[in-house]
Amino acid sequence: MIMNNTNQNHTDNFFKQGLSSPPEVNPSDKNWGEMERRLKLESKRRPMAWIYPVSGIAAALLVVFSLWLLTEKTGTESERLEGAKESGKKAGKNIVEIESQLSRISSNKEGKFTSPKIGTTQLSKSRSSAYRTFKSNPQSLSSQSFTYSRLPITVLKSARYLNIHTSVSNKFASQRNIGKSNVPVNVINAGFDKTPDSDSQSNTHTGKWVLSLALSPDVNSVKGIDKGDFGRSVGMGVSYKVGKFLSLGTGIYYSKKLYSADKTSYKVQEKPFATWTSYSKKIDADCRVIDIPLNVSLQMTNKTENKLYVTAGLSSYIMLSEKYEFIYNRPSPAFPTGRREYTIRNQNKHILSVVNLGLALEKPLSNQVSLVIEPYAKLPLSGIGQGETNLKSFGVGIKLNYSLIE
Amino acid sequence: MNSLEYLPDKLREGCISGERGSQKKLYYDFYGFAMAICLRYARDRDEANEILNEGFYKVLTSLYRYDQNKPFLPWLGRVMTNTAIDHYRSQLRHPATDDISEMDIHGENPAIDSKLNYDDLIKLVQNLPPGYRAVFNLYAIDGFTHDEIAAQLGISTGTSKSNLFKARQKLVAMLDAQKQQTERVLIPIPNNDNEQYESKPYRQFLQARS
Repeated sequence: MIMNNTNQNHTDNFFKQGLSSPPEVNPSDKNWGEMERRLKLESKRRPMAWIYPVSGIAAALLVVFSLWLLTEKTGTESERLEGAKESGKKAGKNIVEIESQLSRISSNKEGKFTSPKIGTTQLSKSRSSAYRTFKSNPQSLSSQSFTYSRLPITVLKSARYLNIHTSVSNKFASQRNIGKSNVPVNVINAGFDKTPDSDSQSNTHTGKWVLSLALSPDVNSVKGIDKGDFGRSVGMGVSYKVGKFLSLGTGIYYSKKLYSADKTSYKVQEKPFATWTSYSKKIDADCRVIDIPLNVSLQMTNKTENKLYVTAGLSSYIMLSEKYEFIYNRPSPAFPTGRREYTIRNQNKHILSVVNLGLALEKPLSNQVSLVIEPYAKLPLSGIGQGETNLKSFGVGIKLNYSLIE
Repeated sequence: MNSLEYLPDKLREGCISGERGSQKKLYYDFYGFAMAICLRYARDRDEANEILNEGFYKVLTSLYRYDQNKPFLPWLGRVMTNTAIDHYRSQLRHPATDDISEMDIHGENPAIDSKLNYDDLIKLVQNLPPGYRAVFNLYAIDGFTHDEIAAQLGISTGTSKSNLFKARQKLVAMLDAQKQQTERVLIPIPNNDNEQYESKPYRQFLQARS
């Protein structure tokens, strides 16, 4: 021990001398037992740490492929045909209406046409109706229903250009019987393939699988939302429709979570973290986290354009790195700036320990692509990170969804 | 501590590579040295055990930081002292009373069960309130200056000086109380020489004071 002071105090010397030759102490096996347990825990943690993110990804992939295989088996040809017939019936009805509208327009074509707007409006209604039919039958997301739903657009264009409306009308007329007689899918397809606007889109019907890319700025806080720091999260997800309105989703997201809190927010008892916390006035944290959610989404509206979903589920956090900066009450010789940094890697994981709540608004951009804006909250069920804090996140997810073609 | 002044390379490397046998050897070889430090800074043996294992944990997991060209004992001692200081600071939320009247300075029968040897002295130090004990250890035994102590404990230099002064006062008061207790017990025993109940350091202390 370095002697810096030159004290000559009698009491000091007396004690120093008296304590200078401690008796032999037999090492305690009990103490060593505790130490050994702690060392085992340490050695177990480190080399295996990589396995958590990897197993998380593997689990997510497993879920995705299991569901995929399940769908392949259950979605038989007869079911699809049945669905297609159903769509054919409904779309057939629409066609009858459209046809009658067109006939009326047609009869007015020689100068008697009064208001093309009337025709347009009615046709628009027809279009909406057909589109609703398509949307309300996600089980029968077939090329047929989709083609039908597109048809009124063709008609609408034709109505605007009266010179061609007759031919269009004739084409529909020739298809009327098809709609009424519930002919099989391929026949309907064959008929519509002849229409001028029937393009490659007739095959782009979306399926049950949706892939998404997400970027989510968020606020992380262990106290109120107003005391949070900004972070962000990026990643990709996949979801699967299990019913008309329900879908299951998972994914993998890399999050940067920054937050700052006073020592009372840190619940950890483990040393030395607890010790450093105890004489810090504030601790800043910078955590890198893999977030693997398992969510259920419920579609709340049945509108053709924008759709509203409520999402709930649980997330697992794999803490890749946690950097804490202890801001001491005052400087010390070892830490003259009064700050001490402490970084740990791959030491904490919180399996299904965070509740996800979200409200998503989906706006279609094309047949397969849609934009989703999703305000969300992530609320922990257990202490997060080494400091075991109540780390909440509030953010807005901006997602680009891509529906896979079946 | 002779040959253990420097840590053998094999032992050091074994510990760094996580070899349990080497870690156990280091722990057992230096247990006594480390415990002597921990006992001074702790209020009792349980707390000393806690500090000891915390300190050894740091040693065994951070041994790669130790410069093998330097003596090992000062490094180990420093780790233990720092751990004790950390521990002291973590306990600040629950400060112990510093009222000397509440201290267990009489114990059982000091004249019979002890001779004011190492064990008695360590008990007196342990009986000091934590703040006084930390300053007294750092200044009187480990030789730090008040400025250094103030920085380490997060107190002012004035507080460090004041705590040292009060620590000395309390230690002297406890020694006096111990002496009186000893005399009370010894007087009724006929033909008994007090010498056999007093240790050498205690006699020296009494002589120096008179």
